[in-house]
Amino acid sequence: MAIRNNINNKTEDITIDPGASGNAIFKYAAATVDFFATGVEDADDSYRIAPASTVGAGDIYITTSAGEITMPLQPAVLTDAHTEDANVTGDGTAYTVAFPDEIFDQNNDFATPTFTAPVDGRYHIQVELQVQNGATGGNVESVNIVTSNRTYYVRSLPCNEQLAGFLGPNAWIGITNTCFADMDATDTVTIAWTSTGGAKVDDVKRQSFRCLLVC
Amino acid sequence: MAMQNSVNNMSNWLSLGPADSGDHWCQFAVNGVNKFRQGVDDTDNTYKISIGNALGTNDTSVTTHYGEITKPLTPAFLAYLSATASNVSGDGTAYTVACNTEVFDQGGDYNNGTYTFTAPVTGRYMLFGSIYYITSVDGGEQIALNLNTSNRTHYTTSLPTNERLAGFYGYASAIGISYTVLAEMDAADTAHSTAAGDSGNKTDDVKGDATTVYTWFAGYLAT
Repeated sequence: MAIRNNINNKTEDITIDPGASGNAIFKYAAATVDFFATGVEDADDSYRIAPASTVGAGDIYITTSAGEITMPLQPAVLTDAHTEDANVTGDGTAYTVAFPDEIFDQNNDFATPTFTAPVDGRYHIQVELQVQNGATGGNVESVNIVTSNRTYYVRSLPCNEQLAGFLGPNAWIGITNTCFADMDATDTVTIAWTSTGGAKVDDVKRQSFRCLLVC
Repeated sequence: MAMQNSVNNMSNWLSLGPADSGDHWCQFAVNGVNKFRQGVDDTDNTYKISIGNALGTNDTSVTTHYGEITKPLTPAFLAYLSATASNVSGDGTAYTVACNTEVFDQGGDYNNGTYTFTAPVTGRYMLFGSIYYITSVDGGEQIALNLNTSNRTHYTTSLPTNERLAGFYGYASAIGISYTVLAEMDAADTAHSTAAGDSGNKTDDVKGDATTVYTWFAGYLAT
């Protein structure tokens, strides 16, 4: 015969119900510290996980009553800036791109120009640059995602120096790169832009970096 | 009046705490068989959901006290081409991009002999592909990188090759092409990448390397 629990006298479930307004919480606690709380936030009927004695502040995981799931503290970064870095490559210099304007940085893992992995995991990384090649600048470009474990290389379109007939001199070119990278805790990511075959007169005009801990 | 439970004598919360070292957890079992356990792993104070009856083994979700959540068993893979594949297209041949070296393959769903990912469950998958395509003088004039899933083909990118743009950037140059697709896949559906250059001879290459990642295929179960 199945043993009934002595909380709600059931065999297959345990119900936490304050019987009035208020959160309904399941806590995992040590002797003096509340380590984690899971349960329902009465204010909006969401299910939450928090590293605290209750939910509703500093939540790690939120499921709404409609089923949407968000993770407000999951490592996630977006930067987007129109900041000119002039004369940084064109002669083969691998320029480490700076990303000055953070739109968001959940978990505070980014400090330009470097993202540092807080935990072992798989990270989705994206970069988008808009660059301008000078008349005597480089002819072949690459934007590399440089992680501690390996480098992800992408070859760009020919620059406007070579495509002057199409774009005219000093036009801008957009270059993107994406990877899904394995990173250990404290591993880093930077972005290197290299333009070769000319003089060091090529500029970064706009820069955006994105990174998300996936799993 | 709310009924107070008999564990910690409270009505709106239930607490598990060993009051000394050790995990504290809630076990879900069916007919005497332990299915899932959730709780705090005392070794690192993370909150885990684990298959079976032990935290720290077969963890499906790990949440740190700082809010990072990892899912060590969710389908996710990255594989790349470890050496250049020569003369694979240019004449319209759809070359199956041979990403033969796995960096990781959570779930074991990627086959590095057929270069195919097989979805283990029905869901939405984020899939990525990128190639470094090297054209030759008599090779193809335009190239495309496709993601081929059981449900549909995602025709991603086509660019003129250096054969067509030779006057601008010379012969035997290279072009990077990539895609990112959120694809719907049913369990047992497959996905792989193909690259094709056409209107020329089969003299085009796809670059690979043992250390630097030039040509790769990756994905994960998003939702």
